[in-house]
Amino acid sequence: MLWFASFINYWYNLKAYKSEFVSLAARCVISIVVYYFWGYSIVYQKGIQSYGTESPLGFILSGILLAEFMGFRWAFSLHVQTFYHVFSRPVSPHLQVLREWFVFNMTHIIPFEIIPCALLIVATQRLNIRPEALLVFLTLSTLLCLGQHFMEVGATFVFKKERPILFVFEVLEEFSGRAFPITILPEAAQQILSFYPPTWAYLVWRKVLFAGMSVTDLEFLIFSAASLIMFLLGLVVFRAGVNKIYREGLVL
Amino acid sequence: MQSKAIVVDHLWKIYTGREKNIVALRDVSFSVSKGEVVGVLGPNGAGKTTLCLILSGLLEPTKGTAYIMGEDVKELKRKACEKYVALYLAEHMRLWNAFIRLPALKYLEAVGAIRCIEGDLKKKAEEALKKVGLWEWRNEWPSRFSAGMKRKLMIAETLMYELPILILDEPTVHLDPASCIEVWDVLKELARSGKTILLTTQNMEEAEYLCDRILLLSKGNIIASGSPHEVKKLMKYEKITVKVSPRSREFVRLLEKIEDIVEVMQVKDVEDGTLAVVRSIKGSVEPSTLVKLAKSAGLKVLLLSYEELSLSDAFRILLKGDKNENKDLA
Repeated sequence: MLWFASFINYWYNLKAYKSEFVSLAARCVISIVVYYFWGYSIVYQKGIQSYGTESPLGFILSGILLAEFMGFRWAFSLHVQTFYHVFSRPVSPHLQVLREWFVFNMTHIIPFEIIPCALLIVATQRLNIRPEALLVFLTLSTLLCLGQHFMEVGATFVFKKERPILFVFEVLEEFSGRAFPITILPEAAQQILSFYPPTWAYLVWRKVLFAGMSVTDLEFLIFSAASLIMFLLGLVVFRAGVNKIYREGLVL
Repeated sequence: MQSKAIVVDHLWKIYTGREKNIVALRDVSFSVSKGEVVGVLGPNGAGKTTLCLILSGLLEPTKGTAYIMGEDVKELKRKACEKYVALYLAEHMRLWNAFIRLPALKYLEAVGAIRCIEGDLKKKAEEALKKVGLWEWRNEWPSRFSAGMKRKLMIAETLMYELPILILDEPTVHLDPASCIEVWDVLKELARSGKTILLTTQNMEEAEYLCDRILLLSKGNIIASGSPHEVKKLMKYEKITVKVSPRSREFVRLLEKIEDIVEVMQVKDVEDGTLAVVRSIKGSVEPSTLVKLAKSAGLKVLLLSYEELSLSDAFRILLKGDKNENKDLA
């Protein structure tokens, strides 16, 4: 049934919104151009070699691709405004989020954003990928993304602040190696970011794509551990947040 | 307890604030029989949404408890929503953006798939659309629906879970009168089908139209309960409308001096005179008294009518905390 929902939704979106498809493609191209020139000026200050590529375009495209993949959590309906909507349905909220993730990816993210971006990378870059490393990376980064989503939402509920928390996570993500190497940042910031799992995700992702990184490499192992910890920690924080709302109500 | 769908037993909810605690519910007790439609009326901040959330197992009561189909909500927690209660919180409900470009029928099927509804989804979606009167619109996109139709579609989604109790928190808030009536008709039909419904509202007309029984909630207290007719009868007041000619504000000052007139509710100058609406204790102000009063001021009475207070008036008066009222019939 989920496959059916995904397919039928995809078909209607495509049929009904050709203009949206065009605008998404345009957005992708504009992003690449902007990131390219922005990255071009910075990349040559400190270099991007530590990410396993010497191509600024490859660096930027791979960053956009992973950012799109990681960014799907914004489309989840489990936020402050819809908390009671999701929790009042007679189904586990976690299961709802997973199903939602599946459908939203199948209908919006993969066809309109990930596939065009991946095709651009394949067409313009020299790739050196170990299939098993790619597979494990995608699985772990999915867990990382879900964990981050649960942590953001859980922290919002625990601290009863929405915008400041989302702002902190957004800033961390912005500086975690999405559009430029973290080596251009001050040493202290780099130290802080090393405790933020997506920093490892952006590093490992590029090395998996361009440098043939194996799952047994130290950086990959650190990324694996960080992703799992993020996922488990996310669930714990989320549970704590939900319990707090049950006791105190959803008054921010 | 078996015949009761909902039993609320000395329920308290206190929100702990940084500066002060807020008592949202104060020793509230009532029950709802199976198949009954009960309306909880109250102004903003009366504790209506808090009550809905506690009854759905999504909020912990501070003291006391409630039983849903005989089971304690404190033990059920969110399982109350899985087993018994379909909750509809108008202010928190959203159409699923990812699917709003699907035809309405497909939208319900897709949402049903996400929500893991078991059984024949197509059949359930069709039945739900028919129940809310959107069958003719099954091939239209929800994104093109009016606000009332969107509400009805969300109610349809709620109905697909086929749970025995429906709790609706202000289902018609922010809707225009025509859309309100559309939603009322849906709820009336559901009530006829035997569903137990508890709805909260600020709209007296809605409560009068839909509910078998109403509870007036103010600052966390139930200040009156009974059928809409009984609540109106709780008032020992009546409303007197008197029109005098020619226009005279002096007449209003004379009215205010009559001891048995509790309140001058409305005064307005009309084309041929002055119209005054006053509240008085039933039977205390004779028509002859008013006619004599007008005559003494050199005025002629053009209209004089005695009416029962409307539910809105009764509610307004009860909220004012009139100490002379007998506050509970139930």
